[in-house]
Amino acid sequence: MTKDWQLKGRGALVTGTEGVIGRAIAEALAAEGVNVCSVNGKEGAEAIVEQGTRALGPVDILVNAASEVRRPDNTPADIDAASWQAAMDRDFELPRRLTHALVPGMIEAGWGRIVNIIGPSEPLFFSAEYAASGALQGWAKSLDREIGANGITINCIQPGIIKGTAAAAHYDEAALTGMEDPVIPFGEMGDAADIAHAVVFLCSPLSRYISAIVLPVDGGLSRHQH
Amino acid sequence: MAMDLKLEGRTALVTGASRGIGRGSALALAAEGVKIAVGARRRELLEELADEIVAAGGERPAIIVTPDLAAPGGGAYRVKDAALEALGRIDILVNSAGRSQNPDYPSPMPYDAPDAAWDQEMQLNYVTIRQLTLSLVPAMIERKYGRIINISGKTEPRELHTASPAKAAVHGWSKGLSRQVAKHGVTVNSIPPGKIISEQILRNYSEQQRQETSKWISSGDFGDPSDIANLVVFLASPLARYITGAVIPVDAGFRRFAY
Repeated sequence: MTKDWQLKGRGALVTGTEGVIGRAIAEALAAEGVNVCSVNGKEGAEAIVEQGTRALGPVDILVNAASEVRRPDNTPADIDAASWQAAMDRDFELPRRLTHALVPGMIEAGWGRIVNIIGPSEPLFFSAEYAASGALQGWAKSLDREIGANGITINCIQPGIIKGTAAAAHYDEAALTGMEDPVIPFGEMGDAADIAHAVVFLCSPLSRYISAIVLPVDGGLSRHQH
Repeated sequence: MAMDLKLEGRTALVTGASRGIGRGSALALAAEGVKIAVGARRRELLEELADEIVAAGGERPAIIVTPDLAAPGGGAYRVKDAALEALGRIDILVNSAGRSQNPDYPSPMPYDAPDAAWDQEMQLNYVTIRQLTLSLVPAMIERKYGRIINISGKTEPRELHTASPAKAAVHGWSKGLSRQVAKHGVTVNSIPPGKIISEQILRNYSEQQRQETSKWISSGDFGDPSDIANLVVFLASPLARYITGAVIPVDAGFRRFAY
């Protein structure tokens, strides 16, 4: 029995499709009949918006999947201002700018979906990306107040440790999963498809009443209870 | 279009199924081909629900007329026995029997309310959920598949409420359980509903109060039981295997806390 998520024919712009998570999201949306414009997260916001609207016309769905938590090689004191700014630019400013550029069209259409793939709320090591990711959560919640009455939802997904990502390369899977009481309670790193399924659900008209949430898809990795 | 939720042939027990969110969840699961047992106190409402499911092309659910689950001792184990007798096994448990307010008392709860008022809410909104879940979890672990979905409540109490601490207990208890059972293919999640049009909301909110409250809902509207049910269906599916220990509000941005 197949589920109709009522997404056929909609247009989605997905960033970060050079990574496994972005790619899985683009594929999953396309499998639902969505017209997907995949873009590399390394381009600037204006170029991405132009590329997206040229390919799709109106953009109904924006998935910001270009963020990535990296563990710096140097100590906190050695990280220069440019590195801090680079993290903020990619993980906060880029999704914010893309969203602000596309929201007027969504308001006009009376429908829109924004899904941000962000870092965890529980830092496992020092990284500038956690700060950017925290900023994005606060921004998304406040933007929802402004646009929620227009049929638009904005949500964040926090992937756990997902196979094939740069973050996963920091870990030895056996050390995370091999114990009696594994660090990842699920007992395995996640698949990019696990994230993609959640994105499809949040993009569907069937999830119209879900907005401003931060959803961990992490096999129980996070400790906080809500 | 292309996604198979792989729910066909699985079994579910839905409590609080006579009205509102429980009823919506039962309808949505049945529509995905899940064999269900529905529990509530009012038989006639469950019969109506069963007729509706059959009319929609679903299999007639097993009806379990439950005792008052807020009464001392609850009745969780009787519900469990009846559900297992009807379905043989339970893959999915939707704990939807609950309420945000005890209709026998004013709101806010008076300081001198009897202990029984507090005990009832804890029994209904937490203890029954715990008893039912823990009695079904071992078999889920054995079969390597289980879904526990708790319909809980908001984490931002506005005033002194007997239900709020019980809902918080569900969240804390669920997190611990989720970590223990995750490696066995069992997930445990809680859904605090926002303002969803139901018998309870219609009883607790005047038209004017609804309008006032709507100002704090980003979408501007109260929700529908189906809004919760759609998430219940997704969480019940194997496709949501990596989501566990989560509290997932369905409230159109109603709560104030950002993350």
